[in-house]
Amino acid sequence: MSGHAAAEAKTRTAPARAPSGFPLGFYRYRNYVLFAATSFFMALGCIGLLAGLHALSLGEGAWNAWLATLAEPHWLVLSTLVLLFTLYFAIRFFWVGRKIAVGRIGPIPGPPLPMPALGVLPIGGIVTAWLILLAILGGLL
Amino acid sequence: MDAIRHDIILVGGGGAGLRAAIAAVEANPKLSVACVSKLYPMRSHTVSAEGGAAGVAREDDNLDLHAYDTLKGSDFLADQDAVEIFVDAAPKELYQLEHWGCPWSREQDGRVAVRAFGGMSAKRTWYATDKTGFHMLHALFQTSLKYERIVRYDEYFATKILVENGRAVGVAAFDIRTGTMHTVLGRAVILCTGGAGRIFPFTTNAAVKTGDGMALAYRAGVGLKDMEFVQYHPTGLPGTGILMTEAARGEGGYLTNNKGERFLITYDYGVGNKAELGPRDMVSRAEMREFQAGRGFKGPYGDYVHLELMHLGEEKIDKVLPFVRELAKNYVGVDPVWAPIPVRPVVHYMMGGVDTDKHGATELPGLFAAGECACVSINGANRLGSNSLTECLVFGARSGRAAAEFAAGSSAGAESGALEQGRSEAARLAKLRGKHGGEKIAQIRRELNHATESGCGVFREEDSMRSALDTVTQLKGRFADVGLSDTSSVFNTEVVQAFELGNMLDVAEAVALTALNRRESRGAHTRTDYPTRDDAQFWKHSLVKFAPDGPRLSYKPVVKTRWELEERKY
Amino acid sequence: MELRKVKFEVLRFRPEQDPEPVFETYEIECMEDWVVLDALNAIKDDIDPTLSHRWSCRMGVCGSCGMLVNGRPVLTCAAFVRNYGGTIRVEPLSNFPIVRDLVVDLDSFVDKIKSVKPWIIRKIEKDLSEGEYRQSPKQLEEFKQFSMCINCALCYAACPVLANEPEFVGPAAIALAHRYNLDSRDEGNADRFDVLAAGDGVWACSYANECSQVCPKHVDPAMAINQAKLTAALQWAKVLPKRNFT
Repeated sequence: MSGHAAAEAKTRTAPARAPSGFPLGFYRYRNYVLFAATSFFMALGCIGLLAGLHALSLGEGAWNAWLATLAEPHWLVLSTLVLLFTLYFAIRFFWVGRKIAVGRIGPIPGPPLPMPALGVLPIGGIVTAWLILLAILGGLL
Repeated sequence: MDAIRHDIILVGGGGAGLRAAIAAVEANPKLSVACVSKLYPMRSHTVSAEGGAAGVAREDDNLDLHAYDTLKGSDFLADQDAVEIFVDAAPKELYQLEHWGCPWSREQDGRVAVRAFGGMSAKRTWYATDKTGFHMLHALFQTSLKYERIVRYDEYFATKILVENGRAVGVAAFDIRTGTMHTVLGRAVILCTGGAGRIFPFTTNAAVKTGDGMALAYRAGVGLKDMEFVQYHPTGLPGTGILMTEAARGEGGYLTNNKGERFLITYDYGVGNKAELGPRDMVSRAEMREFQAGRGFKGPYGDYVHLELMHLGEEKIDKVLPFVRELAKNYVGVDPVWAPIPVRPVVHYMMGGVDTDKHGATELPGLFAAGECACVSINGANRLGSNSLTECLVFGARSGRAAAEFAAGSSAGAESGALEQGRSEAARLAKLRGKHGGEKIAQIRRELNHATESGCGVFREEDSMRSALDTVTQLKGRFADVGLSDTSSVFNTEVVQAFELGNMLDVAEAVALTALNRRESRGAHTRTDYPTRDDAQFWKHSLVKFAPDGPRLSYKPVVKTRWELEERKY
Repeated sequence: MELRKVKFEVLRFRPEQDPEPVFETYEIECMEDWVVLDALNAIKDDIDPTLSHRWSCRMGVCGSCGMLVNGRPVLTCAAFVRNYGGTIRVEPLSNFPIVRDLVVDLDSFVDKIKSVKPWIIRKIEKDLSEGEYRQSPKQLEEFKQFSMCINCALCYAACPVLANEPEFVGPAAIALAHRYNLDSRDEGNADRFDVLAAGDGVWACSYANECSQVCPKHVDPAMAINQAKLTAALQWAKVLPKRNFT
């Protein structure tokens, strides 16, 4: 605390309120939550790939078994989901993030970039996606 | 009640105030400066200034030319010695701001760019697109943050200058957040509270411009100088009064009437071939005369004329006038790239203020003032556009240094009287909260606004000014019976409004009184019953002083150095 | 001019009487060209003088009047009543403690602004008599956008990171630091590094981008923060060899 006068005798305040519509009540926050949630799927995808790497180190049999596992229907669904979420991450990251690089190599774009295409995801979509995922994981275990 | 102690007490944290604070601690790093402001400093009204700040910067220009333009603009009521100091210090102060990071617009070669402005005979107005005041204020505020000896009292409202043994020794100010009155003691006080445009209904001024510093000084027995001179800016938006900067004309914009004529050159309004680059008082009068001749457009908020920028093209508008475009689009639904902007004269600036000398010192030892709340005077009867931002810097710095010198050279002295005054201010505040009474703040303010507009507008005459003065005097009486609903001590903005209204009434009374008694037309003070300038009788500053039974009016001479009085024609 | 009756649901909090914030409803005839701030002022003038809110310039540049209107952080002086329906909900900015009614405690915000050293830092100052530091329009363009911040704190109200981590330095302050880092006159990059690269600095940002969506001046703080991540990373790499790891 410096610069402004000491804050002795401050008055009673009401606690800060969370941003309205956060985390799932407002489409932009939903998009962001979904964006954050992609990390979970990307982690799953990475674990799968690491398992493959591990299988490779164990020899041809293990490798083939891993390939066969990947071909199973629930693994296919999971891989598709990982792909979708990774794509979502990539699109949003580069859509929003192109501003970062552009400042260095070209003119700075003025207003913030809207993401109209991503703005339509309803809350039901997210819930459904999570339910599907839980079902798959349940099936796996 | 515990006193807060500093060396210099600054009231107001706008352009002049922050410049004064920095100047004071740079002049003497041992001093501590309290910055008492009723709003966070970066909210101060300097933020709304758009067009630019004047200071000689080019080879084709010189200090004498700037001084002459300023004097002529002032209709020769400015003090010539003050103007000489001002134009000389102006470039240095503007370079200082550049060194502090102000993002001035630039030429291709990296030099600071300058633009044309009304009444200026050379390009000397430095600018940061059309948000000059905003950038200057934020640069000053951010720079002020690095000085640990500047201590801010954000959202503290000063109610009284404390006087002990004929010296200003501090202020009584209450913390709006807690509602607690504090006695802030020091060895010098600087007032930088800005103007009082809010006494008028249509103004470019922010809500906070209620003449607080002027009223504080007035109540402390210090004279208010040249209060009759109220500048109308010719290009405000009807209704809101939002400013369309003069730079719009400086960059080549036109004013046109309902016949599509550029009336400033079609009819003889004294601006000659300057046309749109005429000074503000003349252009405002020209607009009013167009309205009287039926050549204005009719709108819900009265007549207006057109400000045309279409011929400048989108690229130039976006480059040099982006804020004008943004404001016009938002507030009147007009994109100046494609359509003219409706504008009318609106109250913009008080040339008058607390009577100070060249160092910002008032007649009360220890009390200084700078910026719009002060009157040195360099603005005389009419300020030239872009001189005021520079004035904040030049005289803010000078008063800061003068106050530092005064503070260092004086002892703290007795303070029992000041503490007693602080206690009585605390009692006044407590009494005001939730005070019962039949009068409403909003109602008195509306009647005040109506009186000033009808009596002290662009054109003035004896009867309407007299009735305006009578009305203001009556309103002061009614204000004693004002009733408040808000009894809370926490962020009670109604109490703040009550103090502000009291201040506005004092200032409005001074405006009406001086205007009534100046029986001539000079600069922004235009009387239909005395249409010419009368140097023999009125080449003098008016001075209003407080007395318990009503304000006292006197006059003091204008300082002349090298320039002869001449007819003001462009 | 047409009048329209609009219902305003305003969040009230009077610390001396309200245990917690409550909504109060006002109905008022609004002119067609009114902004939400005009309505609040009309309520204060003619219906309920105890309503407290901050405002000043009413032209979108002083930054005082930020509030939530129908849940979104906006400058109320630039939010036209005609763009909303018959009921408008006005609340104080989120992510800040409420002092009273629509007034929030901004001290932490101003402290954060100060913490990033938002002033020109130079090894050697040029003398004033030598005039200006030359800066080309292109160099000015590098940081100009980030110098447009009016400190209205809307971005703080919108930021989901701040909702969970109140100590996050936040969009406006980081954008300001970045503005000085990009200024050709400034040499303070290293001085600002500690604040920017700390846990509450740029790395706390998880790219919600909401600050840029609500910024009324198109400062685009999200871009500033993420450019600042790059700057901070490069600065870190620069000082890495000089680090003492023992």
